[in-house]
Parts: sequence; structure tokens; C-alpha cells
Amino acid sequence: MEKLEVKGLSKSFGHSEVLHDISFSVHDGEFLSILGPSGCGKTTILRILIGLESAEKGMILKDGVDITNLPSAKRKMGIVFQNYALFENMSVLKNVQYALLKSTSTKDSFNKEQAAQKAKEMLELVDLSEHLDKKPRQLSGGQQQRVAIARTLALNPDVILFDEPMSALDVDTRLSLRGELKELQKRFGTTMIYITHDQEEAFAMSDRIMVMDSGVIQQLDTPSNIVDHPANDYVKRFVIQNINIKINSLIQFARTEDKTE
Amino acid sequence: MSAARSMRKKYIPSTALKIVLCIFWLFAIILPLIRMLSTMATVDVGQVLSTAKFARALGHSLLVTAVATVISVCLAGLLAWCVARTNIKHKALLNTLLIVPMLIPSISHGMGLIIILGSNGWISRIIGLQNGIYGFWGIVIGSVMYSFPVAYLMIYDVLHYEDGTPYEAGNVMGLSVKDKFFAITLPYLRKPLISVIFATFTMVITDYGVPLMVGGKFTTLPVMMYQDVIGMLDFGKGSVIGMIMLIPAIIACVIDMANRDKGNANFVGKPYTIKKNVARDNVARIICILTIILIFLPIASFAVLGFINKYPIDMAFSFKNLNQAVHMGAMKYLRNSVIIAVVVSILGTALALVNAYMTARNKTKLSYVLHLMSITSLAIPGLVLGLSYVMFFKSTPIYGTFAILFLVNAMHFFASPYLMAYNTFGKINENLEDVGSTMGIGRWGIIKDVILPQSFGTILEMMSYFFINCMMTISAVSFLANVSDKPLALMITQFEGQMQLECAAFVSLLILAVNVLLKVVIYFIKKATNKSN
Amino acid sequence: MKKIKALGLLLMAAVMIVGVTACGGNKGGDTPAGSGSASPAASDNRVVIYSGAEEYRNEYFLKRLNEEFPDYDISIEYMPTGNLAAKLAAEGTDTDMDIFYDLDFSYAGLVEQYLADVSEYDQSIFVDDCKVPGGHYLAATRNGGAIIINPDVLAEKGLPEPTSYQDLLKPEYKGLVSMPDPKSSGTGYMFVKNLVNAWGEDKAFEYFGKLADNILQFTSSGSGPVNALVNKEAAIGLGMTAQAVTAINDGANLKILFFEEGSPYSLYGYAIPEGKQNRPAVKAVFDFFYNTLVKEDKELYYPEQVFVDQVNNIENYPKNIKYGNMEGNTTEEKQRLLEKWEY
Repeated sequence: MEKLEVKGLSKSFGHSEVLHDISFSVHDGEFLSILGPSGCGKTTILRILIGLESAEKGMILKDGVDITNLPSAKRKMGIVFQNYALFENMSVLKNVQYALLKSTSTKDSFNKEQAAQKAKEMLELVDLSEHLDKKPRQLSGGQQQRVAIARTLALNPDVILFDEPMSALDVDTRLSLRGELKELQKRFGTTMIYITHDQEEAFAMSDRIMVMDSGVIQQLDTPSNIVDHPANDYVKRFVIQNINIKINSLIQFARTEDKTE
Repeated sequence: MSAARSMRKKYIPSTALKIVLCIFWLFAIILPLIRMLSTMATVDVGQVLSTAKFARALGHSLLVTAVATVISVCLAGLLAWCVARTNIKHKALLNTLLIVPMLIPSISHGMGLIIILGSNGWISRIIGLQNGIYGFWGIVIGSVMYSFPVAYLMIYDVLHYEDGTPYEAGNVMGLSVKDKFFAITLPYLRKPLISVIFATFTMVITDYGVPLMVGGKFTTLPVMMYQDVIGMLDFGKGSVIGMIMLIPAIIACVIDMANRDKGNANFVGKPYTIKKNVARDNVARIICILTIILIFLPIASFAVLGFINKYPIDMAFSFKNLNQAVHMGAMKYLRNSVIIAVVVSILGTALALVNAYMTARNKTKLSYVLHLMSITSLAIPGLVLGLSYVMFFKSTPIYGTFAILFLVNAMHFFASPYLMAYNTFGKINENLEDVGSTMGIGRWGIIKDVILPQSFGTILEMMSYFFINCMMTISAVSFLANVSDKPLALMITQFEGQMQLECAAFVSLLILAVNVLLKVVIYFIKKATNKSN
Repeated sequence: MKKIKALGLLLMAAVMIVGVTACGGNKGGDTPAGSGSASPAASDNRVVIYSGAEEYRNEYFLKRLNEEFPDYDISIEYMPTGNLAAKLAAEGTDTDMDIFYDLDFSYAGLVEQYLADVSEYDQSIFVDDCKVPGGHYLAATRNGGAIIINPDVLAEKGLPEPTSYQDLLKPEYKGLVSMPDPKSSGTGYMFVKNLVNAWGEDKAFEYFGKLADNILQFTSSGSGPVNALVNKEAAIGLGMTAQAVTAINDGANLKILFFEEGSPYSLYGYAIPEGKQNRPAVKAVFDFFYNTLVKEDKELYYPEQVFVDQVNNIENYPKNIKYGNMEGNTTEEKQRLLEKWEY
């Protein structure tokens, strides 16, 4: 059975249609990237998947169950936003602990101490044990990102959605965070859906990539298949050409790294 | 079907709340104003607007307000930079001292100016100023005095909370101080600066306290309106002028809306790091000290006036004015003022928070209506608001009670605290409610545990803004108060009207004392909570 | 979380302050906070008087009223005459005002529709120009105007005393003359009306047009010019005689002059808003004003002629004042003239 199945999703804002009859499925434990330029509708898919937005048409199945109309909190999915959405008035530890204590899915299973314990464990996983009492403002962008990930993971979702989570980070942090993310995925076996406009990022991390443009899926396949058999001109242009440029620059980057070491 | 239900569940309460708020505004602002404007029916509007006198007053008002606004905002920006962007010491103290002028009524500033720069003012005598500063410069100086602290607070807030990362980037790129100012600071300030400029502009253009005292023959619109309403009982003509003064607020709102949602991608950044630079700090210190001396001159003269026998005949120290004021019920009126100020600071702040939340973080079409309503009150001169309340509420049960004073003050001073909350809420991460809802933490939970704590400082400022202005206001309450609920500030006009300037000075000082006390309390609360964090 | 607690504490403290101060007030015998004195349920012996008279006169009235009516709850509230009229015009008969005192006749005329009929009171005690034809208000005070100077300021500038209205136009007096704004002050208006009657409208307005160049400030209140003279802000003021006398008796060095056009004056009245006359307490207090208080007020503070039978014994008060021509001082005339006022 597929982890997620999306059938015939359509959505308009006013007169402009942002999603047109979108259907796809996500395997259990898969890392799926949704790749497309800004305004292609990828963020809207994410918001509909997690229930922050409703679609005009179509349905969403999770583990074979229709969740189209379920409130977002009951979908057992988590989301990491581009701007992390951390609780800035709380310490790193409290960010996770608070989520555990207040979330409808976990609040009955934890008292204050247990939640703190669990939060510490989660933060250790993302290597933040030294920063438990700091406020988010005192952390680097990558560290903040990891707090957001720990907070989401703590609630034990089986699908995590990422909304361009690395676009505000520098190249170094991105590279190391990519590794960590894959690591975490392996460890928890969580299905991850990752939105990006960065071709190279999508190719580096994904099991499969869904290329989107103007509210329509252009191609959904494994990275190698996309490279070998681009479905149309758009994919060729937007994906393949760009990726070549990026790869070249990456090679250069790697070379300078070598030199400095 | 259940989709519709679940969506509605999320949607309906906030829409319903917005509708309730709109109805509230309808009764608190719109209908009273319409009632007031209905007196215009008897007036030939075109004829009022085409008189030479009106054109002159309009010209005067625009000129004096434009100049005062430019000076106010520049001065405020300079001072905000001095305090927020240097390693100057005692920042909290400076922040408190610089806003002292906004703690006394504008009419008191007018009196203070007469004492130092009037025809017989002590500085006029020293520098040989012949006829005092009556007229254009008098109004400009007086207006800058009470309006720059407001602009200062707003700009300081923006600079203080500005993200430091772009500057780090700028440093890396080797940008000069000038380049950074034009490339980073100014674009970042643009949006708040527009709010600041309009807030200052509308504040100055609607004030009549200063022009009344030091305007000389330089008649401005509010004074003209005052003459028509009070002097000629011509409410219709007064309304026409009042309506003209509404225009800046409407423009402000339009520009503010056009201005919205551009470059609003704020997330956790880094606080701005201030580099070591002793020379810069010294310059900032000199600017601050100089400004503080200048703004304290009239207030100090005033303090002297409050405790002498009879200016300028008998300059002996005396408690005569204190006794006289107390004898006339100053303590009872002080009690009334404090009641009004406390209640309005609580209810007004709560209402402003709810409104700002609905406009800044729960945007729908109704939000625009609410936003318009919320900032409109800024432009309604107190006199217009007070009179329209008299006409609209005179046969309702709340008339003649404290309740109507609470309401009129909350409305009159609503815009600024509302904008403080609006700006703060707008700056707080936009995805908090979404992330909460995916975690099963409701909107209210996020508001209570995350958004309000993050806005704590702003909330304190909002409460103190309401409090302070309720202590000072004259125009909005002068018709609505009666013998049992009269606030203290009305004693100033009462004394002023009877040539007892010394008593008026004493009452102004009393108001200042209460407001300073409040500021001190707020200062310690802030200090305590900063420590606990 | 701590901040929320702090905020909570602050709110609680605030509520307590309000509670305590409000209760404290009640003990003091005031009306309970929040209960409106405008409501018809106000207790029967409560009388609220708004007065345009100076505070020392109001205090005297209150003292006498408390002696006369120990069971009544009487309060007197000062309000500038224009505000008083505006309040009445805006509120109509829905007002907490039971009686007003010292409201300019021209204003009283504007709000006459809201006033109770008082034609039953005998008007023969008044001199002719103080008899009110409409019968809705009664004469209380004659407020005479004069040219008042501060000899010290003139001496300092080396300038002579003016002897006529024309003198005031001399360029050396530029910025030294203070006059109340006729639009907001009855005192200001009476000077305008007086000269219009004396010289004809065109000449009078031409005169004020020139005078405006010398004016330091058109003050909003009639007491402004004397105030400015006492504070040495101005050298010459078109002000109120009685106020100048008070200032002189308080130690100010001022001099009162009358020019050949005579002293302009305006009349002030007292009345009851319609409906309030039915309350016995209000009526009793009003009667006391008519029979006793107004006369005492004239003897003690404002001696200028209102009653046929009246003497002026106040120290330094000019005797045998020659009054100017104030004929045709109606509300309509005031509105018409002020429409033409451009300054």
C-alpha cells in the first residue's frame, strides 16, 4: 500500500488555477522532492497535504484511508517551514517540550518531566545538546533548522513535509544538513516530502523527484530516469541544463575545499 | 460535507469576531461621526471651503505640519540611531527622558513656550527676541516638542529589533557606513517610516493646544474649527473642517495598504551587533544630552511657575497654587483621571490586540475594513470625536457616566497602540499558527504561549500609551465629562481660561508626575522580566 | 510564561487601584463612580450648576447656597462661556445641567429653544437694556470692556500711552496689542460691535484690518489680554474692566483707559434648561439666585449696572463708566458680523 495517494487535486485562488488535476503517490519511507520554480504550485500542494488549505477537487489517501477532510493535527504529519516557525520566547528545550505537552497527539502521554526528557533525546539526535537553554535567536540558521526538525520529529509523525527548508542557509550548512536529514530519515523510517527550487538539492537527496510547472506535474521519476529520459522540453531546460551548471560549480567548490584542507 | 465543516470550524470564529468588531466600530466611530457630519446638511460646504480664511488656515496647517513633521521625524530618527546603534550608556534612562515631553498635554507645552520664548519669556529677553515666537515658529517648536517622542519610540523600536544579518553581509561585502545606510537601513525603515510620518503628521495637524497658546495670528484648521464650534456654535462648519482633517488619515491608510506585504519575510535573525567606536558614541551622547536639555527647558520653567506666587509680579516660592488646586478638587479629579486611565489602558489594549491580530495575522477582506477603522481614529480631532459622542450618545444610558469617557478615550487614542501591536504581530513569524495547527496546538494556545509573550514589551508600551494620553487629554472629554467624573486635565483649561497660569502649571506638573511614575513602574517591570529571561 | 504572569499581576494591581480609588471616592460622599448625574433618576435634591463666572465667584455662590440649602447636594462647575453654550447646543435638554450662570446673552439667544420659560420673574428690577424680551433667561452680569495698559512695558520700550483707538494703529505698537478673538470670545466681539455702532460697519472693519497688523495674538478667551498684560507679554489689551481691577488689586501694575467711543459691554444671563424647572430643588436654587445671589455678586465682584437700584463700592473700580453704543446686539447680528471677520 502507498503511504500517500493524491488523486485529482485542483485548486484556484480567485481566477487563477494554481493546481490542475494533480495525482501522484508516495511510497512508505521514501524521500520525494517536489521541484519547480516559485509560483508553480508546489507549496500549495504541501499546504493541502497537511490540511492548512483545502482543495476544490480531489482526495488524499494516507495508508489507504481518506484524510482529505481530516483536521491537520489528526493527519500524523509534520511540517518544517522555510522560516522554521520557532517559538522565539522559549528556549531550545522548551520549544520541543512545549510541543510535546500541548500537541493533541502527545499531550496525554507526557508529564512535564517526561516531555523534557523526550525533548532532550530528540535534541541530542540533532546534535544540539549543548544549546538546550539558548533562545533560538542565539543559534545559527542551521541550528535553528535542526531545532525545527527535532520539534517536528518529537511528535512522531510518519510523514514530514519540508517547505524549502534550506533556502536561507549558506552552502556549507546546506551540505551538512542534507546528510543529517538523510540520516534521520533512515533512523526513523519517516516518509519525507521535500519542496525545493534547487535542482541540485533535489537530485542529491531524493529517491524520486516530482518536477512541476504551472500547476501541472511535468515528470515524476527517479533522478537517473529524469536525466536519462526527460519527459518534455520543460524538464530538459529547467532541470537538466541547470543541473549541469550546478554540478560544474559544485566540482569547483569541492576543489577549493580540497585546497583549504 | 465534512470538509466544509472542518474548514468552517477554522474559519467561522474569526470571521464572526471580525463582524462583531466591525459592528463595534460602527457604533463607536462611524455612526457618531455620521451624526456629527449630518449637521453639515445645513452648511454650504463649497462656500465654507472657498473662503479666503479657510484657504489661509489650510495653508497654515499644511505648512506648519509639514515642517514640524520633517523636523520631528528627523530628530526622532537621529536620536533613535544615537540610542539604538551606539554603545551609549544608560539607554533605558535615555529612553525615558527623551519621551518626557509626551507626558504632558500639548497646551502645557504652549504655556511652557510662552514662559521661555514669549514676548516676555526669559530666553527672549536674553537673546533680545522682540515679539516672542508667536506664530509659525511657535507652533512648529511646540508641535515638535510633543510629537517627536512618539516618532522616536516608533523608530527606536524598529531599529532595535532590526535583523543584524544583512549588516554582517554588508560588512563582508565591504560596504561603507553610507552604503549600508542606503542599502540596508533605509529600505528596511521605509515601511515603518511611512507609518511614523503619517502618525506624526496627523497628530500635529489635529492639535489645537499649541496653536491656541502660541499661534498668534497664525490660524490653523483646528483653531478655526475651535472658533466655529465653541465660539459660534456652528457645528456644521466645524464638521466640514473636521472632515478635511480626516483626509490625511485616509491617505495614510491607502498608502499603508499599498505598502503592505512587501519584503515581509522576517524570520529569526541576529540582533544587530554594535561595533566599538568611541568617537561615534561621544557624538551620540552630546546629541542626546543637548536634546534633553532643550526639551526640559519649558518643563523646568513650568515647574518653577507652578511653585511661585504670581508670575512675574511675585516670584516667591509658594504652595499657593497647590493649595488652590487641591481646594478646587484636584485630588478628586486626579482620582477620576486615574480610574479612566487604568480602565482604558486595560480595555483599550485588549481591544487593540484583538484588532491587530485580526488585521496582521488573520488577513481576509474584512481585515482591511478593520485596519481602516483602527487607524481612522488617529485623524479624528478630539473635539470632533467628543462632540459627535455628545450628539450620538446623549440619550443613551452610558451618557454622563464613566463608561462614555472610557469609550471616547479608548477610541481617540486607539490608532497608535493598535499600530504598535500591528507592527509587532506582523514581525512575528507568520507560520506560527500553521505550525501549531499541524501539531494540534490551537490558535489560542499559540497566541497565549508564543505570540503574546513575544509581544510583552509592546503590550506594556500600549498600556502606558493609553494611560498617559488619558491623563492628558482635554479636547475629547471636555464636553463628555460632568461634575462627578471630570478628569484632572480639564482643570488646565479651567485655570487657563481664568488667567491662573500658575495653577494650570501646577496641574500640568501633577499630570506629569503621575505619568512619570507610570513610566518608572513600566521601566522596572521591563527590567525585571528581562532579567528573568 | 513569566511575562504572562507579570502581565496578570499588573492587571490585577490595576483593577485593585481602580477599585480602591473608586470606593474611596464613594466614602467621600461623591456620587458613585459610573452612576450618571444626567439620568433622570438623580436624587431630588441634587442641583448641578454650570457657570461662566470666575472661580472665586463660584466659590462664593457655593458657600452661600450650602448655607441656604444645607440638605441639598449642590455643585458648581466652571466652564468658559463658549464651551458652556456648545455643551448646551450639543446636548439640548439631555443634559446634567440644572442651571447655568453667566452665559453671554448672544449665546443664550442661540440656545433659547432649550431653555425653560422664566417670564414669571419680575423684570422691572433691571435697567432697560438688561430686560430680556424672550423670557427664557434673566440678566446676571454686565461685563464692561476697556483699553488696559501695562505702563511698565510701555516705559521699557519708551512708548507713550495711547489715547484713542486710532493711536493703536501706530507702527511702534506693533506686536504689543492683545485682543480676544471675537469668534471665540464675547469680550472680543463686543469691541467689534461697539466700533461698528460708533463708526459704521465699513470703517470699523477697515480699522480692525489695520489693527490686526499690530496684534500679538487674538486670544481665545476674553481674559487672555489682561492675562498677557500681567505676564508682560503685551503692553496694550482690549480686555475686561472687572478682570483688570482684580489684577490691580492683586498687585499688578495696570491702568484702565476708556476712549471716546465709550466702554463696550456685554450682558450675561442665567437660566434653566427646559424640563429642569419642574424639580423643586432647582427652582428653589434659581429663586435664591434671583432674590439674593445675583445682587450680592454685583456688590462684591461685578459692580457694573444691571439693576436699577445698584451701587459700586469696589476698590479701584472705575466710577461712572460711560458705556458705548451696543444697540442691536442680537444673535443674528453677531453671526452676520462674524462671517465678515477674517483674522
